[in-house]
Amino acid sequence: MVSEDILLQTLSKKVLVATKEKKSLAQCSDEQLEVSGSIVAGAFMHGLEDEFHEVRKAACHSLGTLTILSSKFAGEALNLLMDVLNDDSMLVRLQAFETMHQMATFGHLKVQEKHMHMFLGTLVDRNTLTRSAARKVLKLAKLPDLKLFRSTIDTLLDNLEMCPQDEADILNVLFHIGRNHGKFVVRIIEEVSQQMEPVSNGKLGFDNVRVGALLVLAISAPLSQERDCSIPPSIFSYAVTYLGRISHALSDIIHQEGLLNYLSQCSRSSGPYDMEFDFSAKRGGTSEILSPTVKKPREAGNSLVEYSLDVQDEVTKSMNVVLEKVKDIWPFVQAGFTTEGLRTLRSCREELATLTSGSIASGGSFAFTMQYIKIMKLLAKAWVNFVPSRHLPSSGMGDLDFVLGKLDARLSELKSTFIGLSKVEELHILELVLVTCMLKLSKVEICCHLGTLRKLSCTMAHAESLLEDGTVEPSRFMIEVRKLLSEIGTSLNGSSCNPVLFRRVLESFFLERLVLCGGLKHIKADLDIPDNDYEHPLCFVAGLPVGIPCHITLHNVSVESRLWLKMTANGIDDTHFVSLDSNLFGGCDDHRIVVFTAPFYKTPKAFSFTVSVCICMEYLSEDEDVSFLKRCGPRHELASLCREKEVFLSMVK
Amino acid sequence: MAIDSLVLGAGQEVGKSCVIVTINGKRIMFDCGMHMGHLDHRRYPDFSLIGPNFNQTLTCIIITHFHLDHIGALPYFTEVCGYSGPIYMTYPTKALAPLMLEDYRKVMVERRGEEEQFTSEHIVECMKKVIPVDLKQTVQVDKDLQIRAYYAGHVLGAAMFYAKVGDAAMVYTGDYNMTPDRHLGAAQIDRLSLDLVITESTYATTIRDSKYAREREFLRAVHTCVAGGGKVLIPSFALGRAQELCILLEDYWERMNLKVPIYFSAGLTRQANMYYKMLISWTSQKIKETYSTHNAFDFKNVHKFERSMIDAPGPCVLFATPGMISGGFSLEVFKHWAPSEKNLVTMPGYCVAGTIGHKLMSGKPTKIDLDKDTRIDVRCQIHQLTFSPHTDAKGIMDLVKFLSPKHVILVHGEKPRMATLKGRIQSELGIQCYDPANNETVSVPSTHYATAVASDAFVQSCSNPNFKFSTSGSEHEQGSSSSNRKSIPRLQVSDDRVAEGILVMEKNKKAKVVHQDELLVMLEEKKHQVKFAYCCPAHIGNLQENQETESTGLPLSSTNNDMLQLLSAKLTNELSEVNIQDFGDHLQVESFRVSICSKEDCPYRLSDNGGEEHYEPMFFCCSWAMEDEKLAWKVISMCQK
Ligand SMILES: [Zn+2]
Ligand SMILES: [Zn+2]
Repeated sequence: MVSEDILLQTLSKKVLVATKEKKSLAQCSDEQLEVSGSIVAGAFMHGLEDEFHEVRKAACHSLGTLTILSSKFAGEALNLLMDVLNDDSMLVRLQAFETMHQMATFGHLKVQEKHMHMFLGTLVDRNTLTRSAARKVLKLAKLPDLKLFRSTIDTLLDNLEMCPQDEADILNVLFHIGRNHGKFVVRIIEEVSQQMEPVSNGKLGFDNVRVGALLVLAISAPLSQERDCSIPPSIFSYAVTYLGRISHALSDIIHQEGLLNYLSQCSRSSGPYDMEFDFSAKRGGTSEILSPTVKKPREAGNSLVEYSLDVQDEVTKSMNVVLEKVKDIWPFVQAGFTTEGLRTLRSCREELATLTSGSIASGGSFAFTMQYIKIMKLLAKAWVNFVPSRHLPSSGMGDLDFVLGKLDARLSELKSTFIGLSKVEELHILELVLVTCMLKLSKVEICCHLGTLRKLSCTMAHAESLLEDGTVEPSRFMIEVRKLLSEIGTSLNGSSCNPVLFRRVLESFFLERLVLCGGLKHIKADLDIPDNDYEHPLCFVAGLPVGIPCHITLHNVSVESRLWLKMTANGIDDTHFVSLDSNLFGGCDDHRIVVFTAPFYKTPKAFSFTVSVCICMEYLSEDEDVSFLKRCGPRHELASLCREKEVFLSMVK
Repeated sequence: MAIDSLVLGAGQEVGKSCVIVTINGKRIMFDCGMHMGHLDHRRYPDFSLIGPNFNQTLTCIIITHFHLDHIGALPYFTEVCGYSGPIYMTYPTKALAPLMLEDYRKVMVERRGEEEQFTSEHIVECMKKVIPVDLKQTVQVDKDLQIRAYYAGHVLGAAMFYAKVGDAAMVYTGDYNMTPDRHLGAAQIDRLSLDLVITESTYATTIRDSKYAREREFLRAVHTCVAGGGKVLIPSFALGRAQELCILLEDYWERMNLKVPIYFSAGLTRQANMYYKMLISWTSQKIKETYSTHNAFDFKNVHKFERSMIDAPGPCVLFATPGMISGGFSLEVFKHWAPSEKNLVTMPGYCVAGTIGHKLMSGKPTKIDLDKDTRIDVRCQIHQLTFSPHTDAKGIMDLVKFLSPKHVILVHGEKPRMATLKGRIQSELGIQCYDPANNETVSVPSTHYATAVASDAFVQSCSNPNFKFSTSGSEHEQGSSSSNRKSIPRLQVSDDRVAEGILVMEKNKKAKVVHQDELLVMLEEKKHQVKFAYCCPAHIGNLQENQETESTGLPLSSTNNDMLQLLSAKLTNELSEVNIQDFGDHLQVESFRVSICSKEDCPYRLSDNGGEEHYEPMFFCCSWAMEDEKLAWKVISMCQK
């Protein structure tokens, strides 16, 4: 390890007295490295000022690791880091927050007055990611005096006014900050309690949102480690009127009944409190006491996630690890950092690609995850067009129409080619279908509003039927869609719909983490046309049918399924379907084999041509497209069960 | 051979940069600037010192960037003095220099009513002689002189220049910046083998703060002012700083969602912004990366300012020329805005004496008398910008250390500070350093490579393999690897070829490298060998312990032989790895030779060995060559026992 002097020297370009003459020995595993002050002088300053954002980001990152070693170093490093919040790259700024968060976790974050202008500025930044990163740091920060505390609370309230969508998170931060600074809370509440009194008509006056925020701040005080933090008992009674909002915001800390319990206890006492916050878990009724310093990650509060975490099979477990990473792309996609999101997806795909061996790759979970990632890629590309930022190209991510169409098709496939989807999994897919519909509807240029609208309401109906028994709670987005549909439901001609409405609902969408329960079966087929390639074509006589010998293996296809062989002559764009009677197949349900000679009727007048053959399965979709009905052929939408196979044909000479 | 550097300007001062370097017969003029602080003949370099017919003697002129202290005298030198040779500068400099020169000419002639030094036509004619170059492009000026430009940061298009004639090579840095800013990257150069570096030294002793701190202070001052409803005046030159600050403000405005308007006065022409937009490849990494989606010089929040808006209510930010409030529009606005304490005026780091800017920076004046009829009340806040496009002392040291030339010349700085920096370069980096005054010449020796012939024996010895074998890491691996896997000890073969030879230079003959064996033949000399000798006393008792009584009466010679036998046996016993040869009267191990010494006064005997000796000591006379020294002392220590 190097000495503290050397560490400090890396933050200053001036060679410090302490390191001027001294040479310090740094031990690097087995070789000894001599470090002198002048060599390392300002190393971090240079790193943080580098022209390449990759370098600056890395410098922030390594600062984080080193601040654990010395609080003095951390203090000096913070002076530089606070300024990095003004870096011109978003990624660097976020890394700076991350580093501060790390410092706070180790108790090395000592915020000073001179930092506040820059830091508080980020709380009202236009960018969601920045605001939430700043708040994450605040949760753990220790503010030295009342003045800083006051300006922090004021800025948080500004943040709340500016971005109502941040409410839950802001209330959560206020609660944490309050617990860390009980004394200051008491002072602030004393000053504003007048404004919080209900006005004559018995309703809380002032401005609702602000009062709610101050109430959260107030009710956190009894949990502070500081002594004698008395809050007027009436405050706790007022807080009860905000119970829903507050408990929603604090869902990672306490559930609703526990909160109610706590509030009513406090309202009966005038302090000092001997309060034990009863954090009974939502399920099982087991009770645990959470000390104010222990933080539970937000995700862990989500019962759905925990529930399915005890999946047995290893494949699904590792898929869930990958899916966890997929979820993380969303904030980036939302903020317009699509490339960053796509990069993560690519690395997820690469990770999966290393698992191709044997049983893992053949499992249903694997195929599902693979497809899911493809879908996310499309969604990310489509979302770009809806990010309100001038920094983004309007094109370049692929034609939106095309991307949305593909997204639609992929989702349908995902929904229909897997057996054994749990309710949560199915709802997750349905939510994505809803998002796709909303994306289509919110772009004026994309037509078929009517069809899309129909699909939207059918999908929602399907989702409602799954939600019916109340074991799964609908997401915020679904609730918004439900609301929207009931609003426009009366006039389902769609002509009166404003794209802005849809856009607003889309803002409430947030990609939740998908957790697989295991037991998924992938419906698929293998198709082989033996002894056929470019040099060994099948022979045909123009105008006469030709038989194409197909070796077909079906996996997990039930006997009731309606299967079709889809044949398209390339270059002519003529598609026709041949029905496959599943009774022909031998073997058991999840592995059936048949050799079938498919007739291709419309042989063209050409010396040679190719036919693309594919096995498809009919499935019932939410919206039946009437135009799709034909006299013969499939009646419903189709999902392809295998890759298209090229068949080579040439005329008999 | 030598490189001569005649410093015509910027010697121990800032202004009129101009150095004439003579290198292997080629004469290059680096920069041709003017001094802004003088109005008399001192404004231009003293071109007469170049000699009468500079068109024959000067090979070319190289201009590093468009600042007037580096290019201001160029039209005068070419059009008035008549220089007609080639002039090199980068593409952006060629594009932007006419704007700067024309602007200066106007101020000089139209505002100050001075006598015209050069006309607009002169500028146009002068620029016609310019040959533009690209970065890292090697330009062959003539058959001997090569030049190459490297990115210097500082301002758009600024470059450091490398020049090479024969084996002699040098770099002239011009002004440069080692830290990137919002619109320009950091200086970049290859590691070159150089005889001389001529570097600027504006901040010879200053070590600057983080650039983030400068930005923070600026943004905070501006934000606080507009939040309080005030107006911000940013007097600025048309090129450079205005663009950087504007990018900074745009970004901040965007993030903070501010709606306060930002204006450019008419003087900051769209032409300048247009050039910046076109010359993207000369800007910073970030701007280059993002320009396909958004050109950073497409300022979204920036609008054009009309004179009628001066007294319009509400906050705003205005960029106006000229930079030091020496007149023009920025002065007009200043007159209106200075009396309100809500407003803010930012000042550049440096202002020429006599300008309003200079007055504002020296002390806190409450009133400024413009002329005898006009007095301005100054109640507004003043914010001094600490942005600077020059590298600091650490940057200069880092660059010099990186290039490690044989000599350094400092120019473009203040005399006392340069002296300090000179001292540091000499003591810390061990490089010869100079800080000449104007019109002085510094002469440094230059590199000259001589070819030497290599003898066959030398070449052969060089190509002999020099294998070394070692089994490395095998034990370690055995320990760590799992028990069911056999680990194979790895044999490492290294072949570090060593070329050892002797360089022989004889008068009137080509230098030659020979193998050491050839040297004697060549010089017709005999080989001398150094031998060591020591006559070492031995205690007979030690060797004879058991036979003491019988041996006393024996004749000396037989004792001698016995002694040698004994020694031989003992040596064989203890030095199993060496070959001991017994020649009867002496033993030989490698070059080590030992015999019994019978001489009373052996010259190799040390005298002080023994009043206390019990027995008459015996002496072993030993001699050995240098390479067996270790062995020798081992044997001797055995003899002594
Ligand atoms: Zn310059
Ligand atoms: Zn200069």
